[in-house]
Amino acid sequence: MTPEIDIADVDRLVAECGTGRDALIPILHALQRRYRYLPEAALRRVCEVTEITPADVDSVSTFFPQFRRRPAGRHTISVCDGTACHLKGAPDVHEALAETLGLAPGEDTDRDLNFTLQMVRCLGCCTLAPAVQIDDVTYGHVRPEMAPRILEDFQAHRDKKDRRGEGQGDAEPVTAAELRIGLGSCCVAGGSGQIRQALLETCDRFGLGVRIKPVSCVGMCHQTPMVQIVFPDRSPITYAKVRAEDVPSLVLAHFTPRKPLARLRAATDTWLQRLYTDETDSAPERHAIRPDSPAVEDFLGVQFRIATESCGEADPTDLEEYQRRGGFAALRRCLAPLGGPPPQEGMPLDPPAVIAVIEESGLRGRGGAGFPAARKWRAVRDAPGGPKIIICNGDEGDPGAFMDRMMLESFTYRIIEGMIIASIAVGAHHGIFYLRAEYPLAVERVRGALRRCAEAGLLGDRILGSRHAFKAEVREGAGAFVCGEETALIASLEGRRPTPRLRPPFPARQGLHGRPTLVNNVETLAMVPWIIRNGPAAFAAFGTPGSKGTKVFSLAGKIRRGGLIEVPMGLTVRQIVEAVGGGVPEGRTLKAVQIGGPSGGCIPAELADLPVDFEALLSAGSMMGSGGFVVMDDTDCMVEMTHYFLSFTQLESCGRCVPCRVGTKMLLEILDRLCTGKGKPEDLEELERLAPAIRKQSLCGLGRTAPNPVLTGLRYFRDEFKAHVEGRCPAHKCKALITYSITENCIGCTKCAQRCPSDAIRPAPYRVHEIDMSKCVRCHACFEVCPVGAVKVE
Amino acid sequence: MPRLKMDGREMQVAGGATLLEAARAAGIEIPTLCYLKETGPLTSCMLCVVKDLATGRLVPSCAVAAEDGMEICTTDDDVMAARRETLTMLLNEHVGDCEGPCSRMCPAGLDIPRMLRYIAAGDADAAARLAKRDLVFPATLGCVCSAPCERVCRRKQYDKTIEIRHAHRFLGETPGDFPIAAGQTGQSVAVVGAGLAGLAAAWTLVMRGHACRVYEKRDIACAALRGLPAEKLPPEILDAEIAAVQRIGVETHFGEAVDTLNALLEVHDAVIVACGLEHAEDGRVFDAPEDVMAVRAVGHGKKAAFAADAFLRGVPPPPAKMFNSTLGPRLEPAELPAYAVERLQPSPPGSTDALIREAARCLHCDCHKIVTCKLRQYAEEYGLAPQIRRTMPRMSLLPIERYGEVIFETGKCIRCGICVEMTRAAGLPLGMTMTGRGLGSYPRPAFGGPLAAGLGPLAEACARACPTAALAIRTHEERE
Repeated sequence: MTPEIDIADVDRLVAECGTGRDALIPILHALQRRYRYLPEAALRRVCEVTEITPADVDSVSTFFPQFRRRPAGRHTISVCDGTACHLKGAPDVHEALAETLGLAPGEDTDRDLNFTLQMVRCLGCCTLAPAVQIDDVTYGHVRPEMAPRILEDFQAHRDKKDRRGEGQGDAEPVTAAELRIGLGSCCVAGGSGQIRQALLETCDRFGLGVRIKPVSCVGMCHQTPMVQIVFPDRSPITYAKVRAEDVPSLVLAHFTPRKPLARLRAATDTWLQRLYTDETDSAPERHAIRPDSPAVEDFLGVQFRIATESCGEADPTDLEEYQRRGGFAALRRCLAPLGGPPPQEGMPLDPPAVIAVIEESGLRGRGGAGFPAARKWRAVRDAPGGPKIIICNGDEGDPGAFMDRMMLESFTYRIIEGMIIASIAVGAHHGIFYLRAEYPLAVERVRGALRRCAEAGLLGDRILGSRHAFKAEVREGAGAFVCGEETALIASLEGRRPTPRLRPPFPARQGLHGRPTLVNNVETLAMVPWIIRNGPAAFAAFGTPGSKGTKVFSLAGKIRRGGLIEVPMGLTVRQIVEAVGGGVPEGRTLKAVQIGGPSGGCIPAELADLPVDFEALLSAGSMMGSGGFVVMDDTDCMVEMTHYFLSFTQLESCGRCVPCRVGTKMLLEILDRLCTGKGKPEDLEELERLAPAIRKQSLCGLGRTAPNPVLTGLRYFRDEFKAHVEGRCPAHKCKALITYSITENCIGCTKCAQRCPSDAIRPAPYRVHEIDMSKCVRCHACFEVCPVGAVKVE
Repeated sequence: MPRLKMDGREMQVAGGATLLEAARAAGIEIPTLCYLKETGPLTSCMLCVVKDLATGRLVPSCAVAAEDGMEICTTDDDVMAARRETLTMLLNEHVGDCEGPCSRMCPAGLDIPRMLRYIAAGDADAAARLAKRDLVFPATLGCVCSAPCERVCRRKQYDKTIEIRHAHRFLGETPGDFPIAAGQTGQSVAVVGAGLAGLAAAWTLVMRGHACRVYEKRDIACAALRGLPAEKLPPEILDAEIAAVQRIGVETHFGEAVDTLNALLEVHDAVIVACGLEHAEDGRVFDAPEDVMAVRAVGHGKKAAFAADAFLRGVPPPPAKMFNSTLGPRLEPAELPAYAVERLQPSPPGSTDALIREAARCLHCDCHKIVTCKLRQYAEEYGLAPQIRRTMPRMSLLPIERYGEVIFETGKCIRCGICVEMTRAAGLPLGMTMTGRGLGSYPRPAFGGPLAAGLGPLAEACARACPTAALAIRTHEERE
């Protein structure tokens, strides 16, 4: 079974990645791409021909779950267990897939080495929850019973995979109007690849001279795939949830074919009707999205876009367009004092002035802790030693967060511009984009954009003819939440085991290879060009006294309109949930929002008028984190949610320091007991003792914030925790604590029996059905399918 | 040269010195597990936390540089609570027995594994002295003991228990006297009752240098045992061991009933009541109740003697129980391969050879660093309850590996990384490396190689540097 390892092959891969210690992760990625796992013979060869030691190879490759040391299947099925997917039943989906593949417990690969099944942290398609990815095809809204059909569908489609939307040159020549299609990951997952294909075919068939333009993420992930028709003289028309078969009619409703085809045009009405009708229960729903009334105006109304400026308007890969829209104007101002061309607008800014502008704007780091950006920049600038380095931290690992991915995919040039400006300000000449390998599109986009920038003289030895030299490269992470912590991130770049170290010394003084290193989050850098262009006052006009500007959130969970949003700091929780998100779905009530992912905490509905800014969130026991904003309704159990977050942090704990390594496991054990009806009266007390201890005694931010979900849970939902000690789950969510029964209202339609995956309900036409609780797996399917609400959960 | 204040004391230290170095230079004790001067701070155990009074934060003193104007507290309630919490966490993930289950169960506290090791090494004399010291009546108990030790012997899960009771009976029947170790204190103790408890107490006190007189209203010692059939307890065995007690200098007064203790307290410095006599509370009187279970009676006698001894010396009474990590009563079936057990048939004792073969069956499941394990020392020092409060279920026992004289018990590892750093610094071709992540991270020889490749010539140095018994030297480390 072990494939033969060709030494020459390994040597070639090593030659591409380098032989230094810091080439370790790139080499491991390359080997895994080549062999789908890391064969030991290849690893031994790597140690022979590089500076990398066996100890480093072993300790790094076993740290990252993305690296496999056992042979893998030809295709990888990733079941997303991010917050939103978990809420919507991802574990059941995983179980169903395992069963379909005939996997024994503990196995992850089928006998023929066809598929390897894995549970992954957030795929970043929260609005499609629960989502399953097979290689690069994403299936949204998956239900357990769809497992066999998904595998069939994948096998069938494997050969004609949709081409992804990179490549600006292949669009039709521009005419008066253009058709825009979102090609962010969510949109692609939602089927925009096929839509684009259909648009191309339609335009081709009918000879329409319409430009089809791939654009950045529109931020309305709940509406994907979306097609926007833009006329030069009229306001654009947006179509949501478009299906490939609708495309011809859609196009022909607006454009007159050169060859008249009245027959097709007549179909338009039918299509328009269908656009807003419910999706039927058909087929693997690669692009079936529940219809909500698209209150597009509200969604966009209270938002203000800085980091996500020109969202949904610009082609993210088109450098010229970015420049036409004011891109790199900010950079030109900063380059002018360094011998660059005079700026087209605004005064030149020398490096200290750049830092002064950022300081005046009040910009705080968007990675979580909110450290003032200007102070960090100045620290790096003033740090002795060099050459200095900039790292863009794109290792977004919070389950339930996807804004870094969206920004990297959609506003690539803006982030690059922000980074170059930062490099001028701090005097750095080398930049690194540290990106999650799970975001292939983001990696591809950034690589492409860096290449085009270099070609255009925006990166290189003499940027735009100035004296400033700056080059940047992309480095891929390998799936470790702890790498979001800057010292761990740096360790992994150096080819060491990514365990955080004590700060100080801060990376600003002693970072990558001991050099002064600026580590900034994606969003922080994306804010920079706008601030320079519009002035610090314009930025500081948004927000609250301590938290200026806007903040990007990924809004997900039990909400009508999820997506990537950017709102002024200080908007209340309620405004975000209701005005932007359209509130919780009909018939449900808001229970809490979870901000900041596993490091953050829950904010209860009673505190919905809390302004969302750094200080207010901290005072409420939560934190900004990197910006996951997950909405929970009355059917969500806070204990189960807390358990979920702790199981995440416990798995992600690097294991270096005791309080985090053992403490999180202890918390998880107690929560486990509570969720399975084995709680003890002293459990709450123990949680209350342990959680603060872990917070005070852990080495890094991961450990120090890991107990936040527990602390906020106990603070705001103590009664619910108490109920679990008594063996009750008020939200009817914890499976061990609930039973299902069917009331006299049953009309004997047998629907529940048909849906029951475990034969716990015997079909009994026209009679009241019964549930055999010994067989029931509490999948909730009967409850959902019952037309008369006769299924009771207690 | 930063000046700072630690526990209220002004001090000046060399630039770059850590808080831990500053404390040690000033004689302030800070506990550490993962700190080793040669490897530098690893900030793993977090036991060395101290409080920075300026911020109120707890910081690992091993890694934080002393700075001018700092005010540090190393002992307040927060610091102590944090250390206790950390120790509790470490012990929650600790997989291993401190004491072997056998000696933990023995009411008389016989150090059974050590006795068996002496036997197996061919040193029957040392074994006999140990048995005599701990049991006082090793042969008698060898006849009558209900042997709780054998009920919990881990070997039982593989084949049959070690025949511990027979072993100490055999040793007890070996002729030879026990030398008195301590010098005379000039103090005297009266013991009321010459049963096993009373005589064990008296023997223990004499061994510790006190004069001792036993009063017994009957004409004979250990009357309760005399009713047993001779095939169960041959009278000559009991008589010989009583005679041995008398021979070391215990005065026995038979036929002298004691009604009140006042008269005794006038003549003696302390009294041990080993007969159930009712008496008033008095700081000088210690109870050693007799018990139907013979070995428990001996245990009571010893305990009363220890307490009386401490009282006479003016030192605090010894702790009732030392801290003990334990694997619990039974190993899971999947854990059995952890001890590489050679299938040795039980050898019914009868000859010294058979005894040696039997003793060699001992798994040595007690800790290899019974004296020097820092984790246990700190657990004692920080007053953790003798048995850990388990918040998480015990983790699985993993196979115990050997390389020469060095033994590697993964479950006792605190993941400090000292062995990893040592082998890396020495430039071993493979060396040890930290693998996995979180609770599943363990030091392993690189590329899953044998321990020989991981530790190489540093094996013994690593074993000595290891703060727990994860890496230990197999040769016996024995308690006194």
